[in-house]
Amino acid sequence: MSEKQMDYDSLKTGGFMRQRQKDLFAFRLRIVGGRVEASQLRALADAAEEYGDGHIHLTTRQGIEVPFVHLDNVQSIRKNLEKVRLHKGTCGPRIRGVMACQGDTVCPRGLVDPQDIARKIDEKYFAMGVPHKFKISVTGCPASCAKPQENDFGIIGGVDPKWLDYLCIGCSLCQEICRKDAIVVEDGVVTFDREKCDFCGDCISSCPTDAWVIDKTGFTLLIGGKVGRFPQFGVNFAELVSETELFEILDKTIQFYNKMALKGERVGDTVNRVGMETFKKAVL
Amino acid sequence: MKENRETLDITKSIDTCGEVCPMNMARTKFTLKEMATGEILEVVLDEGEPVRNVSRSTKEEGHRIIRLERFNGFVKMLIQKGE
Repeated sequence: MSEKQMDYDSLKTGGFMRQRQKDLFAFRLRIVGGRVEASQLRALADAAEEYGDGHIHLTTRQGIEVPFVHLDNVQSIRKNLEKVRLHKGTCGPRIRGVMACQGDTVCPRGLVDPQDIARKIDEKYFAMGVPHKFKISVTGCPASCAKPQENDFGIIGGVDPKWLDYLCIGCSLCQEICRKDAIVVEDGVVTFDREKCDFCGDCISSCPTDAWVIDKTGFTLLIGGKVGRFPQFGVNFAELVSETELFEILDKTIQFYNKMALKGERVGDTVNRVGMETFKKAVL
Repeated sequence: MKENRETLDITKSIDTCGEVCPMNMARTKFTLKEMATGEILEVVLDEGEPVRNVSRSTKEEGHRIIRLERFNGFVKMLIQKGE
């Protein structure tokens, strides 16, 4: 295929990653939260054999790439995989594939459904152009398996616990299991220091008499995490917001980033430069 | 403690100190499986993660933790077998 006939639409929004070998590309797919159906995997295996060199690469952010696709086959592999609802991924200065753990759909610790949140974010923002790469990860509890701290925008499910004295038998199990030392039990009376709580819900899930209950479920938000040459963890800037609030804040964060970032600046560096208070004022 | 500790009759006792996940949880589960409803199992556990894992799974399987005694580095948990 000559350059004139090249599938510019396929190339311009990213997803075909140029390889060091001439005219060969790694075809990146749009994967959300690491979820792939078995039928899609079969189609992927066939596509890797037909258009690639027979292997598949799993990326560090739960993505999938089919390497060694020749320029001439770029359109074919794309159309072929679209039949099983596997669409082209993205790269460059855009909102990237959304990561998520399995949360309460599978994991005993999960407090929210991060897959659902990730799908909604993907539908609304996937591949949207921004000043630099923008990575989002959603994790179901503070154990943070989906590494929200390493993403530009991190989301952590959490629960606000409440103690019901009339159900408590004073066994002090909650004090023993709390990692944040937020609970002290003395003579059958519980003292809870909410400032120390990270909203993991361990007290609720382990309490033998259900004397700890969920007062509120929500999302803790982190901004500015990244790895690379200048790594930094995302900083917690909002606690236990609702799903509606989460989407409002994400929307405002992207607006803030588009407006305030210098060319090629990650959002963490923008926040470092203008200050966390300015950022919070803009988005909360 | 609101419950009278003198009235508790321990049916069986296991020591899982030094064992790692999921063995402490698995031994507790299988020991309870062989016991009758209402009987009491005493489990000795290393403090920290084993207590979290065992207490969560015990509750999910319908048993009830009725007492926890804390010592230096380990805990004794009394579990009453559920239905």
